[in-house]
Amino acid sequence: MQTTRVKITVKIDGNDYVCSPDEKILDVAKRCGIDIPTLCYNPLFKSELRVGACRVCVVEVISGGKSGLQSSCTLPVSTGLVVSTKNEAVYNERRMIIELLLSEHLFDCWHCDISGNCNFAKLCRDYDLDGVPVCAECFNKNESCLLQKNILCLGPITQMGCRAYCTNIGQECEGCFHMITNKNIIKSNIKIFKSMPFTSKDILDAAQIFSSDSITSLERILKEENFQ
Amino acid sequence: MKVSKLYHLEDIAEIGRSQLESNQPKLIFGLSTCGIAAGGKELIEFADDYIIEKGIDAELSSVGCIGMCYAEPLVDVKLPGMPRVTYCNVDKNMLKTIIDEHLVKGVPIEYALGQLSRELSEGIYDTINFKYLYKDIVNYKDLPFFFKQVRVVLRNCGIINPKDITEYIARGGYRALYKSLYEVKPEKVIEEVKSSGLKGRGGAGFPTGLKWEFCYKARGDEKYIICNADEGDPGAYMDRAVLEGDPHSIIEGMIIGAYAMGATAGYIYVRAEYPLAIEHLKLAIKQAEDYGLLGDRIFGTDFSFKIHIREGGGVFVCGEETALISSIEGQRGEPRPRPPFPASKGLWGKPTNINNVETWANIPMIIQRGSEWFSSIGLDRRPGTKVFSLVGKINRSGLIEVPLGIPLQDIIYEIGGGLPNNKEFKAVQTGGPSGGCIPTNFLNTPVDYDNLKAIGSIMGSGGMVVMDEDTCMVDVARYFLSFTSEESCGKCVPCRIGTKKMLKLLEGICKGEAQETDIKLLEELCVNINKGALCGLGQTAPNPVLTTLKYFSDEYREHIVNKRCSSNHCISLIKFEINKEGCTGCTLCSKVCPAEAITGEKKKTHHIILDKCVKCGKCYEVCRFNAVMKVDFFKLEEEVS
Repeated sequence: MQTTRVKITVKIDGNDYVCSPDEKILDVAKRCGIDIPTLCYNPLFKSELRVGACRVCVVEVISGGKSGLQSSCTLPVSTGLVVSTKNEAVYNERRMIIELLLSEHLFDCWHCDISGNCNFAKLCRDYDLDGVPVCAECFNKNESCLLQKNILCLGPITQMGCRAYCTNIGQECEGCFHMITNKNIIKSNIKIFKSMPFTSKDILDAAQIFSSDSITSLERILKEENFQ
Repeated sequence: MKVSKLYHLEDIAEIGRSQLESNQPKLIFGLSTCGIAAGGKELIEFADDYIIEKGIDAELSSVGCIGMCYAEPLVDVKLPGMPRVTYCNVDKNMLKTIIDEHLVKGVPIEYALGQLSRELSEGIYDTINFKYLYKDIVNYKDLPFFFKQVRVVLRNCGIINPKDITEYIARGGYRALYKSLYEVKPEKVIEEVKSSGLKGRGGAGFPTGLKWEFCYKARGDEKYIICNADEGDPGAYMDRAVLEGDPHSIIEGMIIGAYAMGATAGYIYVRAEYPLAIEHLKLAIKQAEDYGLLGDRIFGTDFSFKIHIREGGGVFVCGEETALISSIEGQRGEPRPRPPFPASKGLWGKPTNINNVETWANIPMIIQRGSEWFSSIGLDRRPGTKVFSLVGKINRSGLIEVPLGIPLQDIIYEIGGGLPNNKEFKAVQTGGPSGGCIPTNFLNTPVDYDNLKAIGSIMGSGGMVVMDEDTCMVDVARYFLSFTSEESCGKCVPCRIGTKKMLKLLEGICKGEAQETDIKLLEELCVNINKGALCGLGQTAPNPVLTTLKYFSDEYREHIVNKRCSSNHCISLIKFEINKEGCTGCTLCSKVCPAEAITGEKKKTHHIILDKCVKCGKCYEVCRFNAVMKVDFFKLEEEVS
């Protein structure tokens, strides 16, 4: 019984936290309100079943353990452990992981069921990644999607980050957050306009808020995709 | 018979000695996998028939690999009282002459490679020492291939019959086990291993004694030890040679380790692709059990220990210790994050110690001869030896064991005999897909764990691939990345997607489709994958790219900017052309061309149609007048425009 009463102190981001010996760093962080992003972590699983596969929750062990980046969901607390959850190495690692996952991801967020509540899209926003359309933050999907109602909404080709205030209240996206820079994504996402009665002139007129470079590249893409 | 006293062991040793030094003339064949692949099995069958046909009184015996893979198949003649004489590259006609002249008449033939008159490494065992020698035949130790070698792990490989425990005991085997069981306490065994300075020979180089101590101190009712024989690096076969040629040295090492750490069961996780190794191991375990050297009440003491064999599932990542444990447990071979380390929570949640084949094979020698002896073997106070498989563009490829601290150039130019066809040395790749490429200016680096790490490579399990001037370093990096991305288990994101992206970038560079920014992207990926991947496979996967980027950055730049491959290796960047002056019109090239891309009449200059050419390189290989040339694909286009 003695062992359960023993408390361990760990240092996270310069502050001391008291925790019980069977906890992992992620548990401590969640309890104490330190923000560590997660993807494969499931709070319903027992801590032995955590796999540390997505590596998004990495933190840097400064001293008191095997130094370097380690997944916080599987890193047990120990006396004298000093970790950092916010530094350049951690940020870069997390950003690369999210970017890698994004590179394997589809960008047709307008008919995705979890759009509006997408954790992954939130991570992309937090880590400043280019390529996810506004639709990822928009609750309106299927019949309620503005495009389905034949309202020209620039959501599918506009970079997210604005939390989709306009589209969520029923107004079309005007493209304030600049056009997605990756041309391949624009090329695949622009196809959604094809099934609708918009001409290339309509689209270009709506996209006047974009920078001139973006407009010229959009023009070229529309031509390549044979828009009327 | 159960062995419980030292003199029992001596009795068995006497049987073994009489076999090693039999009164009958003996023909010895090198029959490990390399020997069989070179045709050793057909030779022994042929010799068997021939001896019966001629009524010659002789024994046939087989041994493991002695290391001279460049000279396989090897046949040795052993006459009573005389040293073994080795003949290399033997075919059936040669074998007939060898039997007629040497085995029957006792006259050695002049093309014999050498005679085994003394131990390959003196001072380790002294069981081979012949008074009468053949004249005019080189001693083994004076052969350049063996001159700088020190054989501790390979002490018995190629010398004893691996299927016979008595021969192993005759050469001093199982004495170390007796010594540790009867004379030394477990703590003292660990202390001895610790002070010997032995580091894990699997590649990472963690001090073995320390690892043992962690496992010894870990609390648990049961403990396990594991021998990692899942050797998967391209071009590496050190473990296979030991498993096939001297399985008892591993078993003895494991029993000593089990005694020291208090383990009750051991597992040998061996590649299923090594059927001969599995066969020899099973036989060795059975023989050791029959003599009471393994199993219940070893040597008549209260100590019991069992060894089980697990055949691997053919996954490269199972060489990683946590993935290996999952695989033994019957789960998918995927690594898991450490901590907890296997020493506290390993196989079935119990304290577990994992060591490589070579590490285990070192243990009996350390116990027998003491830690001081072991730490004095290497040059400049580096402990022990390392086995390397020397392959690639080298004259004498094979399995070598060198003292730590030997310069790389001694290995390549003295033991390996330099590069064939007078080609220039470009790089040597150590450590397999986790290692790096070492360029010419580091050739005088003494080989040890720290030095190789400092120049960006690792010691690894011991693959050493030599590359000559015709090798394209970007393509080498691409090859190793294609290996790791295929072998990635897919559990963690950096390794699963990251290696794939890196491979894509490298393929783009090899095709001449890359931009200069790609190098920066590649470097960024390397750094982050190295830091963030879950297990050693992912963490070390960028090493081949990092080292080639560091030492051969010109070559990368050349591929990207000039779109040209100076070693004429990257197919997309070259094209084939026929030199008008050299071509005699022999039509040989047009005959071998699979795409019918070569036109031209007999005795007139031929021509390659570029649109049809598939760049297989067949015409380049067959042309006897060097008229087919590899030319830069893009440069000529620019000139035309």
